[in-house]
Amino acid sequence: MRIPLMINFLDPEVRAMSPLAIEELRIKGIWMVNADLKSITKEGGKTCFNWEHQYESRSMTKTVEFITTCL
Amino acid sequence: MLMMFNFKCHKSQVAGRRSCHMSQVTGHRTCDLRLATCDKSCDMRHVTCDAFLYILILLGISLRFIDLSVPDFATDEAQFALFASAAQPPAGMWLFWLSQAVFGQTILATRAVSALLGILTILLIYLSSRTFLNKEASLIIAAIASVFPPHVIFSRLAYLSSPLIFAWALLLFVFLKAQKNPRWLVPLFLSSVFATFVKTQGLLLPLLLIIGILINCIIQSKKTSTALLRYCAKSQLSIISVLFFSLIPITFYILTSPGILATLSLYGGNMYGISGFLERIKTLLLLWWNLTPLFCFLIFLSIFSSLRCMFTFIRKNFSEKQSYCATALLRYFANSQFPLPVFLLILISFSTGLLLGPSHEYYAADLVFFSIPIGIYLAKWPSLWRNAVLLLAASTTFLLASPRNILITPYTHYLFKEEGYWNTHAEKINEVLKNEDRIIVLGSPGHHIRWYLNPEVLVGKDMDIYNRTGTFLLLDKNETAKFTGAETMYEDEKLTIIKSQNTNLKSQKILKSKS
Repeated sequence: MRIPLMINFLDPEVRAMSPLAIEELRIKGIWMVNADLKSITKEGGKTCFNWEHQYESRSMTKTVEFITTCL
Repeated sequence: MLMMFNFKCHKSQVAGRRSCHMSQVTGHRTCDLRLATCDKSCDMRHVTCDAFLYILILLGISLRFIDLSVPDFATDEAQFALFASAAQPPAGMWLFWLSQAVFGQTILATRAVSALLGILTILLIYLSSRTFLNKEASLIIAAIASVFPPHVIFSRLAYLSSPLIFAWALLLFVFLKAQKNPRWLVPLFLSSVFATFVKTQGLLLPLLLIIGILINCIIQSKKTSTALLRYCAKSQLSIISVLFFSLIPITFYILTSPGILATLSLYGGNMYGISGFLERIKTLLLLWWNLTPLFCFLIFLSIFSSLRCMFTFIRKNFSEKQSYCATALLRYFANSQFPLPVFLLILISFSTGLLLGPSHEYYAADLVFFSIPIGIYLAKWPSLWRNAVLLLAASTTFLLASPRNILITPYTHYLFKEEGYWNTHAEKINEVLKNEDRIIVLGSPGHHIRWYLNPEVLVGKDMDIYNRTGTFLLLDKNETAKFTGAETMYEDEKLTIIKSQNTNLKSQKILKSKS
């Protein structure tokens, strides 16, 4: 169920940080369609986005890596 | 049964029997009593007429299976083929995935799904037409749908257009059946859910059906509000309920899918909507004209014929007070040969392109539902003239979508004029990159890059590549100048691959901080 995850976006701070979190992934050269947002947490005054990234193409599916972006 | 559906008794004029078209509720005759009856000459040569229409249908079917693997995968197609679009629900992509799982991960296996669904759409349009028209008119409609140029083209490509049109046609057919028999309510629910999960805009048809039925119900009834409610509850509640419940799963899916909401907010301001309305109309009409001039003309004629029919109906049946436009329009469609879902599909097929992206060719494939009014219009013509027009229409489609090994004309669709670059070069490029685990692509890479290239692809556009070593694939030749002392591994007319120890690019971060 993704409903609890979406509830985080009711927080204006999370909404404000979301584009920056995506920008952080883009700087790493990641295709956004290969990254799945798993959770959003608040740690030490920062908003942390926890992603599950798995590169997929026609010829390969790489192992899953977990990426955390704190802003 | 909906009050808007009419009692029909199309019978042959040749046999001296009458052909009428009566509303069960209002008792109004439609303005065209000759609807869908075959004229004398056609009836005399019934077999020949049918054979000609079947030949056109066969031509349309075969054109859908030709040259499937000629064009490169477009970025959207690759995204759907890789089951990797966050902006769309999964059912359409799942069909592509299923075909790849069975027949292998090839372009042919993926696009064959569109071709097959395109052909089944013709069958569904025919079967839907048969629920309110005779066989002759339904065959004409199927023949027009089968050679409808944008639908032929997009039945060869792995966009979600062909699956969506199939899902809408399925919903149309099941809805018309459910009007007559409550056993079809479960299939109605399933087909509606399927339509909503193929592509986001799939929900338009069930949503508009609910609204349309309610409006129609209110307009049709001249009774008191209590009687109206009782009437609606009795005749419409099951259909409306089924359609309403079928929208619940997709509503939850959209609300819990950040990708769909992000896409809506990304394009909401400029691509979606009615901003620059006149420019949108112009772009849309030019696109249609370029794809299918003759069919544009037929669409215009069929609309003109319907409007003329509508005004005749209004003049005959309404007092001045009653004949305000909106009510009259709905009343016309409620009492005419168009069942409500056909009218809505025509409306949707026109408005999706207009509102969601007039320059997007794939929305033009939705216009295949215009085959119904065009078919009804042409069914009134003498068979000789009608067949001549159909032959001409099929010829224009053949010129646009003819098999490459038989005929390439100036009118051949641009996607099928030449073999795609990636289809012909990917093997060679992958041979060059065989020792690379990961490459950075500079330029504007589409998702097709992930389909064609074997190494992991990083999108370099936003990356900080200052002093970064590695293999770079440059889609823009001008980018080459930014690298010094790099070894060129591959170069052709489209792209360059270099191996760099470092780059002389200024750090993007440094540049940003300076600015």
